[in-house]
Amino acid sequence: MSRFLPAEAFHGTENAIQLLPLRFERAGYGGYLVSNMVGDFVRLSTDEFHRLVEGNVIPGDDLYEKAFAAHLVSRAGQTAQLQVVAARLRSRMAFLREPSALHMFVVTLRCEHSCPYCQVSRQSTDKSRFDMTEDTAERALSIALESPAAHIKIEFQGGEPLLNFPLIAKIVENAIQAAPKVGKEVEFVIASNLALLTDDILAYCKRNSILLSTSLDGPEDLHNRNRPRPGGNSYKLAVNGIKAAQKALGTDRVGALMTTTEASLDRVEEIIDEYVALGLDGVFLRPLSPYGFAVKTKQIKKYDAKRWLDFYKRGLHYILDINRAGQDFFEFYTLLLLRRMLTDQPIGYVDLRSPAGIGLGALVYNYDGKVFASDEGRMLAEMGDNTFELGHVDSDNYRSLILSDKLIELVGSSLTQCAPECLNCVYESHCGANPVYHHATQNDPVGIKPLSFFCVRQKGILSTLIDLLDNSPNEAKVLRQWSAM
Amino acid sequence: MVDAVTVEFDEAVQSLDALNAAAYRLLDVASCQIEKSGGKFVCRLTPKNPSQDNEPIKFRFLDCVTDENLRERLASKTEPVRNLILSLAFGALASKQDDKAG
Repeated sequence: MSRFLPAEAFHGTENAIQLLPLRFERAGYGGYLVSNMVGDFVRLSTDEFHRLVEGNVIPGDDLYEKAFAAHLVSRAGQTAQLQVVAARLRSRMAFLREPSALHMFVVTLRCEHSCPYCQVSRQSTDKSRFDMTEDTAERALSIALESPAAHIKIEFQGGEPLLNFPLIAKIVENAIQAAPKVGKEVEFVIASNLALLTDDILAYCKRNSILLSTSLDGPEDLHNRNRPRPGGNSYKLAVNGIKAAQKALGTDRVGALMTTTEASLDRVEEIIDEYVALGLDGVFLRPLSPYGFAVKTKQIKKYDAKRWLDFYKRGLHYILDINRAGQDFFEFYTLLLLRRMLTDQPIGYVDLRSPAGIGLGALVYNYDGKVFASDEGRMLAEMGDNTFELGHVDSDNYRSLILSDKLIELVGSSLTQCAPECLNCVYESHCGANPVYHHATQNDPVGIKPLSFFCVRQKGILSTLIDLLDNSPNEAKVLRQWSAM
Repeated sequence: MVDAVTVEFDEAVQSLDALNAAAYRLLDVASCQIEKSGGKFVCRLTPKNPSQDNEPIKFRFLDCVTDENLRERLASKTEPVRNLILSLAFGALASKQDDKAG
């Protein structure tokens, strides 16, 4: 059998023109933004759009060629175009074949910082109550190793996980021994403020290829204001920790995340400069999340989506200028979205996928043995809301957690492919169900999207990127390079 | 009391689903109550911001209804090919599951 269809399958047919599924929105310029089933965008004038949807296109009129190239039309009975869309769709959704690749161990809820936006509701005392035990860790590890993914990532979270470093070492050693026996590769990350980092811990990380992820909110005054600790030296400790980790582990083995508070909004350039000066390869311009002390202290109400989007856009333009001046530096969320928009790689980022990443993308083992469908789910539990608690390491295994009625209901009910507004949203292919966020903010896992910060943010970022890709050649060149990273 | 603006549609030619979808899209600026009355759908739009001018809300709603009507029509027209593409993409997975179940 020939590997390729005959040439007639691709052109020359006189069969009727067939419209393929599409989504559209009115665009600001008076025309329409149209996307196909795999999220390729095309801008059409009002006349072009109406001709397209009425089927008034003929080969040679430019619109037919434009629509054919964008997988918006085919010919009845012609399967090649449909096969291409199907293959691309299958590739984009292939993240579902590697379920639960991320396993987060909350080894302690204690922390020596007292950040007012802390989303995990850290505790400052009582080691016996808020530290994970060895038995719990062992049981959690065995569940993690039951997951089908061939490559798993174990992330140590807190509180401040370095306060329980002996347990981290125990889990790492057990995982390194046990993973090959079940045919798995395992990678480790410690999410730490680095205040307690020592040379011994760095040497241990080096020996075991452990990545470090930390928090850096920007210049010293801003960082220390956002992240208070005894001595008021959080910034100094974080920066020293980053430098020490870069030296000991390599510059690509430590990353940092920032959280946007109201005080950050006018200072995006300074924040980015701080990251550049430290030799970090990019920044993730991250809004506050609506959990824990960020809600209790009302930090979350101090800015709206529009103010955050202004902050993001200014930051993105500043970063693009840095790139155009010759230095590679990324905005990581943008990079992720560009890979979604410009390639068909399966991107399983937990907040940007549908079916949702809860459980299917990550499991969280809390210090007390409770298992949650996401990190934000355990943050909600600390606020008294157990909606995303799936079970307990003592009484559950991987299968019972993943196939629990609760998880199936939450994932099934929040699919963007059929949620109100999302199902017809022109950006749906590049967005995701975020049931934890919408449950937390609207008490509805599906979410009322016209009222959702998440939705406004997604639409704002995606429309900004489409605009740059279409209308700003110099910026588009940089953005296209990012999508290949 | 904020003044509401009323828009009427002929029940014989206008789908209720499209009206509901349009009302949903407007939730950030107005609440919409839809009632049936004498062969018409009566849509009563109440702005969320009392100082908001009603006219732009009305026109936005009409645009939304027009778009939702079109989306409904396109969905129905492209449903067979959409299902075909989905079966080409994921049908093999379903057959594997059927094999396992069998």
